[in-house]
Amino acid sequence: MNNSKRFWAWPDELHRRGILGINQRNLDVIFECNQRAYYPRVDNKLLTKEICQANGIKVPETYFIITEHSECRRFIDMVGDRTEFVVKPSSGAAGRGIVVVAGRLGNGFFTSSGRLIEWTDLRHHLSTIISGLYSLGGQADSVIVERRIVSHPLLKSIAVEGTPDIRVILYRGVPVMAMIRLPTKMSGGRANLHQGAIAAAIELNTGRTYGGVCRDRAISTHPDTNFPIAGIELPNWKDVLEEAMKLSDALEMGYVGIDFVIDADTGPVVLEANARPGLAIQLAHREGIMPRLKFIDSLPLADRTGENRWNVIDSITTKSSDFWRV
Amino acid sequence: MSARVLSQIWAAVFVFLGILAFSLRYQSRHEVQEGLQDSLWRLTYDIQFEVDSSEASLKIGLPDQDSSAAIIEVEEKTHIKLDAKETVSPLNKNRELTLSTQLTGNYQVGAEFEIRLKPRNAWKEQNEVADLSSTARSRFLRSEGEIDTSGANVREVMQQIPRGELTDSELVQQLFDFCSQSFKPGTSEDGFDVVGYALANHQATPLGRARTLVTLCRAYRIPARLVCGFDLRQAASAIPHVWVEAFYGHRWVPFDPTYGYARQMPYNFLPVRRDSEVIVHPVGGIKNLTSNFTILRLPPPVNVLQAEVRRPSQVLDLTRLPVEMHEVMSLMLLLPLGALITAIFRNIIGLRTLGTFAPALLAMSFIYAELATGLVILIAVLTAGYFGRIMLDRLHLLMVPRSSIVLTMIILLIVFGVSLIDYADPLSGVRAVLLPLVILTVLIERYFVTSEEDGTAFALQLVVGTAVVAACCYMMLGWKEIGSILLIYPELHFFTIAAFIWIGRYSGYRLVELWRFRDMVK
Repeated sequence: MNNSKRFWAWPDELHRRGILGINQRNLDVIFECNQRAYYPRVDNKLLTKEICQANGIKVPETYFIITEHSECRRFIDMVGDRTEFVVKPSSGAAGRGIVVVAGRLGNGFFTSSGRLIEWTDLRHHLSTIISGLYSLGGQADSVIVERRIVSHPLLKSIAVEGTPDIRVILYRGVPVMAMIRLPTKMSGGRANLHQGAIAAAIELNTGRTYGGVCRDRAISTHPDTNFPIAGIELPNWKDVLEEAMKLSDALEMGYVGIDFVIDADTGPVVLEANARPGLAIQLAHREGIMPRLKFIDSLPLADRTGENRWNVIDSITTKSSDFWRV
Repeated sequence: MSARVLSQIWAAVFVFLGILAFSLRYQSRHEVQEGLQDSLWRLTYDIQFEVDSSEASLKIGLPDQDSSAAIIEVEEKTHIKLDAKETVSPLNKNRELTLSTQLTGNYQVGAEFEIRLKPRNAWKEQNEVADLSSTARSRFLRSEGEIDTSGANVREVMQQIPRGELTDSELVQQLFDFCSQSFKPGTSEDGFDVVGYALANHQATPLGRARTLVTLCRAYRIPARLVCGFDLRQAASAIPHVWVEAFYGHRWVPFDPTYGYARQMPYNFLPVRRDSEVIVHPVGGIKNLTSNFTILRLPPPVNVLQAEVRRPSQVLDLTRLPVEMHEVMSLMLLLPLGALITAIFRNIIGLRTLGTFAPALLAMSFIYAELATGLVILIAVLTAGYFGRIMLDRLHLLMVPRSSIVLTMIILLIVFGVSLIDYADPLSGVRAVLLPLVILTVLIERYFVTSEEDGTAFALQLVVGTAVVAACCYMMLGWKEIGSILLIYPELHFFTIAAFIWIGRYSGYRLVELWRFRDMVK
């Protein structure tokens, strides 16, 4: 293994490894599979939530929604005596504009990482969201105030700060890859890979973690704790896949990434769905996604719909890695 | 039909349209240009002679179809009783019309040539590389008739100009200088056509000078010959002109000791017969030969004269617009190339920027201002905007009013900055530029949001990407030659569109992905 000396890979090497590049993702996967008209279903979290609820998929309970600047004043009244809640823009992307309030002292709010936010600051943040600073295209947006998910104890133990989340990528309704994203000190408690959060691949049939990536480099331990990130068995894994498939069917999108958190009490909860999921998941797997997509394409429709998908998930994971290098 | 195939077809269509439109315009421009630069002439021969023996023949030299003159039309009016045969002489490549007859009497022969003169032929085209065969060499070195290399006067000159170490070129130059400078004008009636007589009296006719130069060249063993032809200019009765060609360095090099042209003859000198002093050469049995040559300038083609007539098709010609609009128009035409650079950087290289077209627009505004002013203003604006934005952050203003304050501050800064530069150096010609202000305001706002959301490191990465793309766009947009070519041939953007289609369907890896996924190969 001399890959530490390599500064680049040749295109045919990546091709042989089945790596999906961003151009090919956009042209051959997203354009082909995702209808433009359905994008609001994932870009607007309120809509996503409605779809989830209509299909019996668990989402964080919505406390209230603010759509006008004038309503910001009434925020304190609407929050009532709740001490934990999440403020998020309805159309934000990549976790932008999300404030997790984990504690409260009168009109002072504490974030999950312990930072104090005064009421005036929070009110400013609300109006910023409504102005559309975080929304795609800068359109006026609304604020969702919802229940704060308390992470499953097992996941809490491996997270430094913030909440780990799970992303499942589904192709034509079938889960093809999944990863868990763990916030780090560097990422400021957010599960955002851009900012230095780490990710580990999840074996689809068992829910066990393996691989790992941090800032596009392969890693095997958590940079803050040195705790190995492979071999963790995720709780409620079958439920996660079940819910993911249900939601993917409801969204009618052929290529979608669905983000979950696993709540200590209620199990998997959908945070959001993404029509343009990133490519770092391949790095976490140390494997390209293309062979899996081609495998799904090669199956007859009946074999990759409904309950038959469980067999597909099994065969995806049990195929030897040599199989994928076709 | 799949999108991929359809895209390929469209790209091909655009390439085809580009080639078609470009070649059509190129051709029509070429025609007009030719019409403006070239001149049309009519050369008329009128030859009268009397035949008094049964074996008479006459050789008439026809103009040389060389690189600067093209014979468009030839009309020969030969006498019914004359046999005419057109030949090309092997040694001198002269085109000749040989007339022969067995009937005595008076004859009149005419010929008309329409000649197109092209002014723009390079020296090399006029002086073809060639080699002389030994026969040709001995022919062009021979001493005969008027060219007598063994005369006493010739030997005298040879003593004045010793061969020494001179190269052929230097020697011919000295002989040429000698023939052009050491003779006073003389007339042929006084015999100054004759080499020996001219040398002895330092007086010569044009023919005498040319003969002398040929004689001297041959005396020094440099092959040389006379050339008889026309100096094309309007004349009711043109006199053929004689000049000289000397052979060295594998080519025939022309010299005109009368008018002083050397190594290259003006394009309006039309050679007719080489190795000859006359246009019409009687071989035998010809008496009272008179020849008259007329040269007439013809008008240019109609499309040249009517170039200014208003036609709807002129809408497609952007060069017709007032000159002061050209700069703006060509800058606008360059902008798609800026977008092309942006697309290449984003989709093929994978460099990310703050805003999609912001770098190209920024580069465009830098073209309007001059670079140094632009940079100073840019740095000042970014600093002020940055600190202004930090200050405003505490006020918790809504986004649009907040950005507007930054914009207002930037404008005030630029206005007074321009005033300051003008105060310091009134001649600096500093220009206030409106365009970058809004772009910069948006960029500052984007930078803040990005650094808040994705970290300062990532935001700085975007800033560097923006700077790189803007610099490349600046270089492209500042490329005046490309701008003026696009103004003439805006249809070249069909190729740009084809390139956009190609990039738009490029599904290969971006360059940064080769780096990003480097850990995936073992």
